[in-house]
Amino acid sequence: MYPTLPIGPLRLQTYGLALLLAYLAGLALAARQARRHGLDGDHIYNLGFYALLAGIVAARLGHAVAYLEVYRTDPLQLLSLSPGALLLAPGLLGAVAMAALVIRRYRLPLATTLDALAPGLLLALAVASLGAFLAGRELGALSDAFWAVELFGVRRHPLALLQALALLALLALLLWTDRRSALRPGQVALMALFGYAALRLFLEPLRAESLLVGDGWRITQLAALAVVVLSGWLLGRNS
Amino acid sequence: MTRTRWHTLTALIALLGLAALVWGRVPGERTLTALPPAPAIGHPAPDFTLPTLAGGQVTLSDLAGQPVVLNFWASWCGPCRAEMPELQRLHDRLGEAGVAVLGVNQGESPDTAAAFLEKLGLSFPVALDQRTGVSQQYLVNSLPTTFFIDREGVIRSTFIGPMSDAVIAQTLRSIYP
Repeated sequence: MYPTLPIGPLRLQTYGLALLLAYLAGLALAARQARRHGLDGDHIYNLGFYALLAGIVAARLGHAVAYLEVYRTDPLQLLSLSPGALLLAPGLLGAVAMAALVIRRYRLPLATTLDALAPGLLLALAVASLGAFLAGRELGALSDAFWAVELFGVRRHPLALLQALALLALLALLLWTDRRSALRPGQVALMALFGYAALRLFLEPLRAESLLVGDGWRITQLAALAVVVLSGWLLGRNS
Repeated sequence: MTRTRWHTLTALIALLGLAALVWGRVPGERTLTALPPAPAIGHPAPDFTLPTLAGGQVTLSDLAGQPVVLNFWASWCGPCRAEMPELQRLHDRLGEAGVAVLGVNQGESPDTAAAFLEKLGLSFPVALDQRTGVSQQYLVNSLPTTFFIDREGVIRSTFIGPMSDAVIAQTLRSIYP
């Protein structure tokens, strides 16, 4: 496990570095796919940049709402550079809202833009998962399977590594399909959604700790199952 | 692929998914496997005894029953200096309520550590890890590093790098609601 990597005299946080790489690699792939689909790649770079900014701002504002008592005594913490003081959900919401605004502003064709973005997102998720594996985040459940890895005296499913490999396989399949056959706009994005949901559905039981609902059901699996059914139905309708 | 093929594939994956859902269910009566002590989330915090700056000794397991914020630091480390006032505020605010803030000075003389604490006006307990044995036990290879340990002595969160008040408030929720 390598939570930090020694780079010269510095020690950089592995996961933070992976997130940065994920962003750059994902955006580059999305821009390339956009050009293949006849869009201007620069629009994708702009979209990615503004979405990142909006995501960070929204993630900090969300954190401030959640921990209002701290920010009320010290409002300057809104501007602190601490990457810990961010909440994921409002950040994602902000990024998606900004992406929607950029798509409207430049009058980008929605389905084709999503087709370009989808492989980039899968690549970004794969790189982030690899980083999580190296940093020892996203722990797998205890296991004696042949692929289990030893971590701190116990053997666990290498969940983040499996997730990264599954994402890369999905990405390869998606790019191959996209290249091989002329698909209707929106199909690539739907396939990515379908594949990602299926992957989460089947990998979630290997996770050490999941959010549960009701009688021990994993929320992620319930949501993934719904997304599989919905996106699969749309894929059929759109083909 | 045709419409029928997509819908067949969807039905197939949904069926397998239902099986995965049932297989992945976490029954309420599940017994937790005891993990070996290790400096990682979900594991019991490795025990240690160190001399304190105040002159006594501190043993981590003696703090069982209290949430513990275990912070590794050194006086030469700028980010540690930056977060020290935050840790002091935490100690002032929740020390009475039972939250134990314990600093571990990494590899410095008592005089150096004491001068640093005095200069910054810090009063929370500090243990001295002069031979850095405990730092190695906790795999601390960058400063500051902080472990959040619950009342049962299990590590619930770790944080590498300086923590702001907001970050402390968030991370503390894992051990002190």
